Amino acid sequence: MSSAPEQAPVYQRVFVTGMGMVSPMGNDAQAHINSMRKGETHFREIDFFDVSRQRVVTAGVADLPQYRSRYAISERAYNRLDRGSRLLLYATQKAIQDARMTAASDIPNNTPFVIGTSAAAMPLGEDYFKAETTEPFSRKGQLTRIEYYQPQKSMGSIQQALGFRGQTQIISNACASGANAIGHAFHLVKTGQHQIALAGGYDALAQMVFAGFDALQALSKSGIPRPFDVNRDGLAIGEGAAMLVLESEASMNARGAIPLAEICGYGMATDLHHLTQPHPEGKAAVKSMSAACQDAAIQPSEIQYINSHGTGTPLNDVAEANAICEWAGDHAKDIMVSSTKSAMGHLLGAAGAIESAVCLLALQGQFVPASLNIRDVDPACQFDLIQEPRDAAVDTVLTNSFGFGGCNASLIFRSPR
Amino acid sequence: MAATPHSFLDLLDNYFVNTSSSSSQDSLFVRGHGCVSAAGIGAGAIYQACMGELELTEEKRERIAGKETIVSEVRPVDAAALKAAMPKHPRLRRASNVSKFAITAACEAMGAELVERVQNQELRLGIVLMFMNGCVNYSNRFYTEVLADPSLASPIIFPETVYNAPASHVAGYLKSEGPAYTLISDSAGWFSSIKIAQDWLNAGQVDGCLVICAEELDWLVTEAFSLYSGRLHGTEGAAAIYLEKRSSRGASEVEIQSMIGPCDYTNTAERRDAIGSAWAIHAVSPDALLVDGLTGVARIDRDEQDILAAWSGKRVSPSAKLGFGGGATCGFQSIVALEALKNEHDSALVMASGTNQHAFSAHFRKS
Repeated sequence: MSSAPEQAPVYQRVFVTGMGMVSPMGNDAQAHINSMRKGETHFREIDFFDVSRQRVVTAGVADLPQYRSRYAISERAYNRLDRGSRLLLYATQKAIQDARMTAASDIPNNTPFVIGTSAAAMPLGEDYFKAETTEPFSRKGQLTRIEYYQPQKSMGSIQQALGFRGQTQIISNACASGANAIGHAFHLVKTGQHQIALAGGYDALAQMVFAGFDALQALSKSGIPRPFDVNRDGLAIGEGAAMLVLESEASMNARGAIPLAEICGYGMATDLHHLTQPHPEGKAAVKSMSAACQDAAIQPSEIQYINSHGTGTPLNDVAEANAICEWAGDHAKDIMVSSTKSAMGHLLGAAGAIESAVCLLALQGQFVPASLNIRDVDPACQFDLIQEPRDAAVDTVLTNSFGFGGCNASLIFRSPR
Repeated sequence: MAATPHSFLDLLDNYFVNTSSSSSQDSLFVRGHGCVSAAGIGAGAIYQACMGELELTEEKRERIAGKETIVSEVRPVDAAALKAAMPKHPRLRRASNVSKFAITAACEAMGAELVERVQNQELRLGIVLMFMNGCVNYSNRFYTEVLADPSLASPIIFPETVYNAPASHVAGYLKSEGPAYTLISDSAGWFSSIKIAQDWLNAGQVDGCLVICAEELDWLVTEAFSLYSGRLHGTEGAAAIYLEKRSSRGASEVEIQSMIGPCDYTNTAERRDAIGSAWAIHAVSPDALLVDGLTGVARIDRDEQDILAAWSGKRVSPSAKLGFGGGATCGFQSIVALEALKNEHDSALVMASGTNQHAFSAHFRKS
């Protein structure tokens, strides 16, 4: 075949024009700001599945929003959704509202609806399993469970509920899923394939996943994670959802929308060290952060704040600390770093999305949230580890998400200019 | 808005991904393909089975449930043949079957030379792996342990239940530090995965990209299939293709000439319209071999059967031969198409109706 000379790609700038979030901190932006400004933690005993025989019984539990009559699906249809999808529906509705969009008229057909999740509708899978093993010949409710266990089905219901039609893509890159989803959607808009994208992540607490982390002894025995403390002993799981509206500059201007921030860099890399353990030097994290900077055409010295992955496990935090120091070099000491998982827990597939929202709140409010509960800082932290919420001038921020299987993703946001 | 029928020109505007065209931006060449299926290890076996040259045996699997026994008829992968063909690597010792299927198909798709180039960091690889169900064997086993006594639940099994464990093992074996996505989707997600690979190639993020789909059998899956129809039998395995933007100018090279999709839907009525939209692909090559998604179960096939009824050319239905392979279904179809191009055809269409998300279609052609 013949080939014409390739033209240099023309990229468009991408802005965040709306966000919605639900986490153990609350169900809107103001609740998150208030909590982070006060330095509160949000962990309590799980009461919707049996934890009586677990080593750890607490987690970051979100208040599940109730059915809203404005949803264009019935309450019965809503009740078919798993807990996580209900959280995502709420966050998506809030994001569209925040972007001052009318779903039916402002969101074009075929708009990417890019979602990150790690466990998806696992609670429905658990219910299906229990019914099959206790009443194998009763099919009552089983088809519905199987249908809605498949997350693409629930994503269709969310679109119906909110009155828009999108191209669902579900990325399941473990705990980096939310960041990958936002990064992927960012590139779809940046490259001009779409003018608008909705992207975020969700995960609800599920017995199997909770027991899995407990079996790995990855959960903090005290239930209070202490990321970057020298004596940290594990993470706390949390649940929630966050959704961002990403928009090209042209689309944003045409609508007269107000940008919350510009998303300008996305990097990813795969850590080959081990299925569940990062390379001790955080090699893939360095690559991921470097790739994000390259994508954004900026230097590490231009980043003022990092919302770290910072789970609170012994291996993760030292690897990430080493990676930040190597990546930033001499500038590391000037970079403010914190982990908001210390306050709300690790939201797994939603982590990258909610922590992106936290970065946007930091840019808007000119403050940085803290890594809470630290007594003695790990000596690997040769950066400005934020232990108390702080007012600060922040213009460009980065968030890291690392997952099982070696998925590493980094996103960069900056104040709109 | 429901997916509505479009004129072919509308579809070209909205969906057409690629042509043989003058621009290399969208060119997409299949440089290799591989498959693990109930027909055997290797892409040739599934084609032979679909052409009726290979008999497939069905296996009855029993699950004791209280005083009763539940029987599922399945077509599984031959475990001994898989073990003999699978690459050896410490990561794979306790990996799930779905990981083993994926890596075996991936290695066939890439071939030894390309595998070595990736392992030597001479080629930047992307990996997109998709499925509907994922690592169900270990999920079943682990959750059984959790319900019995969580303090004894195996910490070794749990990580293998995570959706992206297979992609991690593939990357680990190939020593690929590049981008890797795991997608959850209905069976047509195979083509969404190809679209992502194309984006990475167009952006210059990678030199080549592996697209893999895989599924494994378990009673959890086969009994779920039976909720749709008692005649819908399960199968398992993996399909993989290795894609590059540039032609190797090899004699047997195949180009993905065009794709239509995603044609999204959220309910049964919309599904019919979406399949109709995707079926516009038939206009590009009326002489092609059609590889459809029919399962042989009338109730499940009705929409696709009706919409494709006018097709008078040659056609083959891999799922009717093999059984329903969940997220691996469209990958199997594509492997059959690619083998057909190797053997006797110049052009093949793959029709992916999906199950509850989207429809897609693709035109594969010898370049």
